[in-house]
Amino acid sequence: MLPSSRFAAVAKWSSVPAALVLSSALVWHASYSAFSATADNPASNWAAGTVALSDDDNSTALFSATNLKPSSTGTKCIVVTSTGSLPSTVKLYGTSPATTLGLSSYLDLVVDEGTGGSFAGSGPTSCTGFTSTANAYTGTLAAFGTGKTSFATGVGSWGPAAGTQTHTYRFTYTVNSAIPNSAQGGTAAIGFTWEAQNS
Amino acid sequence: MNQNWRTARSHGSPPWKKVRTWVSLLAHVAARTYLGVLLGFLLWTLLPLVVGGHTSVVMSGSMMPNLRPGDAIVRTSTDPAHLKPGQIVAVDDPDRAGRLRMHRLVETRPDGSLVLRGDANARPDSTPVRPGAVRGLARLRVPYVALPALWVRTGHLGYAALWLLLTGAAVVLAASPGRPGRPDLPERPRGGGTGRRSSDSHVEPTGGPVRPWRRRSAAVAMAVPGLLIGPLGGGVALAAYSTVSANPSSTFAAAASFCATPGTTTLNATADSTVAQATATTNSGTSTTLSVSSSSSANQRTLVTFALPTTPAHCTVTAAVLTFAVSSGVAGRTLGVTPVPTSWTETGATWTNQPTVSGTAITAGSVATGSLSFAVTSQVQGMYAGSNFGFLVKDQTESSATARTQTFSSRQGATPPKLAVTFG
Repeated sequence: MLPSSRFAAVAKWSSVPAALVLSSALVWHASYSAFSATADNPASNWAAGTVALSDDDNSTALFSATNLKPSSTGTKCIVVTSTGSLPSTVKLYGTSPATTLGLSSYLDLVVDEGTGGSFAGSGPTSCTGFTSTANAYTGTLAAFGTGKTSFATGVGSWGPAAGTQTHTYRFTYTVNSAIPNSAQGGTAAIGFTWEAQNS
Repeated sequence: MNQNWRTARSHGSPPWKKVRTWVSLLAHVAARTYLGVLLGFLLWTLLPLVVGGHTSVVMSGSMMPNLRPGDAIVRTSTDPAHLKPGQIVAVDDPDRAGRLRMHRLVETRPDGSLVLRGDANARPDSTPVRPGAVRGLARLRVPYVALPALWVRTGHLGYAALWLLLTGAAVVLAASPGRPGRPDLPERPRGGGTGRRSSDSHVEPTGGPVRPWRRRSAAVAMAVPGLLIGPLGGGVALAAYSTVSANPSSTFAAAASFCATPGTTTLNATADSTVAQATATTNSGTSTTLSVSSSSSANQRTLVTFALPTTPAHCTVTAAVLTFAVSSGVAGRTLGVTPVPTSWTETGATWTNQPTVSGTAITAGSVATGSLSFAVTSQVQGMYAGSNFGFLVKDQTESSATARTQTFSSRQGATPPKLAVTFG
């Protein structure tokens, strides 16, 4: 049978107010669910794209240097891999800097970016095949620790595109030859962290 | 050639016409519902602007699944001091100037700065936010409404075009007179007593002049996308995705000593002399012996000096021992060594012109034979830090009634006084 004209008229003219009610309900539901959610929502939903970052350090620190003397030096390369589905910007910064007897002020740090090399291999051999494309940081470890503390203040010029991209960072420290004897027996520590944010 | 449904039914329309009539009605209702929802969303999005709110488009998924790209978020200004953890706030992106970030508040630090986190991020944002950067508290989430703006901004023009096409079609469908049939159906007689609206009863035949509802629908079709893409495109909230890869803490430990050439250097005296109270103006610098004596009005003291070597790079004096070879002596006396503050010469020093010393002496007990050593580390360190004019050795209790004398070999004798300096 065909719809009656009354039914058709009711259907047509009730559809707009019904839609307004429906839209309001949707807005209320969407707002309620978003604003009442806890901050501890599991970070599992990456459907809309993601940024992902890993490195090849196998949870081993870049440096565990001991018995440092003036002009002591060390080099290590680490390869950072971005596997995000969004293009991003990667910055390197320090976490939890610490020092005793002012040692970190006399540790000169140079971070170069480039390609090649790997974390495996002790000391400079880990940088075999490394080709530098840019200098990310030149200064003291102390200045890095106090000045490069977040994405905003971090160093580096890597902007990985979507997909799997790798980038090598070469770390070189040198104990400044002007280090005073007052720093004898001093210590320094810092964590190096890479952060990617979608660009 | 209008046709109402009753007429169509009473005329016994063929089944395919019934189906088409139903489909037409449903499409009409669906189009109106869709446009109604869209209108509702728009009202929810735009009305807050009237009362001072702001609307932003969520551009990325770092707040997934609670805020999705394409949502419009209405925010109102807020006092940062009153924010509570768990609330979603819009802030000036601390990492990129000129961008807005919308993340959830994790904590307010004692200094007032805010720590935010994207729900889809594993960690809080690395850069805390100043209270002054807070642009508002998210109050209302209107889903989907900003997808067209998102598509346009992200270059997905295909989606935008498809959406425009479908919305345009919905506008045409909804704004059409809503006849279930097509123009080729028999027309309902004019003035038919069914209470139809006038717009329904003034439809021109196909191919005639442009119908008013088409003009209206064209205007609406242009206005709706303009509304959606225009104002919403202005305020963009980039809920930044972030992730980190952290290397464990690197550690650096300096050596206990930076001394490149640690070791002990033994020096022979470069000048030595005895000064004697009994012969107060006589110099005895070239004698092969040195004497220290406690005797009333006949005390004797020994001056001795060494040419200290330059400290090796990054080395310090860790030990220094002054040693005399004893020629003769008596045990039981306490001898003391004090640094000399002013210059003297081996061939010029006498009791009368001897330098005046002060400060605490380093002492050792006298021996009758062998060697006598003083641990003068602090004094030698002082000489390196200040000036070096050698040492004065004297009995700590001078002017005894009975003479108590120690005799050492001088540098002119067989075994010169030695200073062993250890660098480390």
